[in-house]
Amino acid sequence: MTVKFQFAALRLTRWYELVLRLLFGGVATVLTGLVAKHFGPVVGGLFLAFPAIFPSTATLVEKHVREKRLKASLDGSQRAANAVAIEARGATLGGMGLLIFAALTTWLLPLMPAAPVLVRSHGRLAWNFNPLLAVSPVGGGNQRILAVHLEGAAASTNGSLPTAGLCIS
Amino acid sequence: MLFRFLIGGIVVSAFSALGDVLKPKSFAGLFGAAPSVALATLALAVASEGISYAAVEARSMICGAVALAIYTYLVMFIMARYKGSALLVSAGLLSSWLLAAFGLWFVLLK
Repeated sequence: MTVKFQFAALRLTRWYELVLRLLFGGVATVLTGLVAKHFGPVVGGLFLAFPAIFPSTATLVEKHVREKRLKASLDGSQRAANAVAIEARGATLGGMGLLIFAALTTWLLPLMPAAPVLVRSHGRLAWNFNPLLAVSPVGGGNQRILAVHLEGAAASTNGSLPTAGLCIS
Repeated sequence: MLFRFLIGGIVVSAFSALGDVLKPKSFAGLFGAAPSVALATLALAVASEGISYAAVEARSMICGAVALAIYTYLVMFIMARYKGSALLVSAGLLSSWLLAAFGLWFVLLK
């Protein structure tokens, strides 16, 4: 089997199909974030493998194959269904790949060097470059003072930031 | 929220476009299960919540990925045998993904 790039296929895609994909992908990502926020990362993580692309891709494949056959004055429904089935077979293998991706990510993420964490401070966003430091605002009004706490990384992940510690201005 | 929406939309569109230009279709189908939502969400989770939070999400994704493989297999089976409408079959079977994902979550992760 030779894998080829056929850029002409992009011309078959209409602008509204691109908008539809953008919307579908955007909504799926936002919903995944909302599910994780409300039900926690364990349930939210399930939706990382939500079939966001497949239904729109399958529908477009069916439409394109059918249109191609209609141009040749042929009924394309049978061929379109077969094309979608072939696409689904590929996606099943892709699902296995996603499984490996998920397992490797689970294994390798905790081994990563400390990544900066985005935190909210006085309504602004700031990067916390040390995961062992949880940064939270102290004082009121217009004061720009941050309290830096030597706490576990979990403090910055569960949203319950501590309130006492070393202050830096 | 808007940032999340844009990142997710762009990544999903990019993988879809990649699937469009690749031939043969059986190979392009691989991109139907590309980690598009996962890449966008995990990157945002690492940036906003930290590595440990993202790792917990990734562990749950293993169950989601198995559910995805079951879902696409069912789509393949029904389309090959009954030649239904792609929209009806792929949208209708999303319930099978939910059932499989939450079933695995209940058995393995709860």
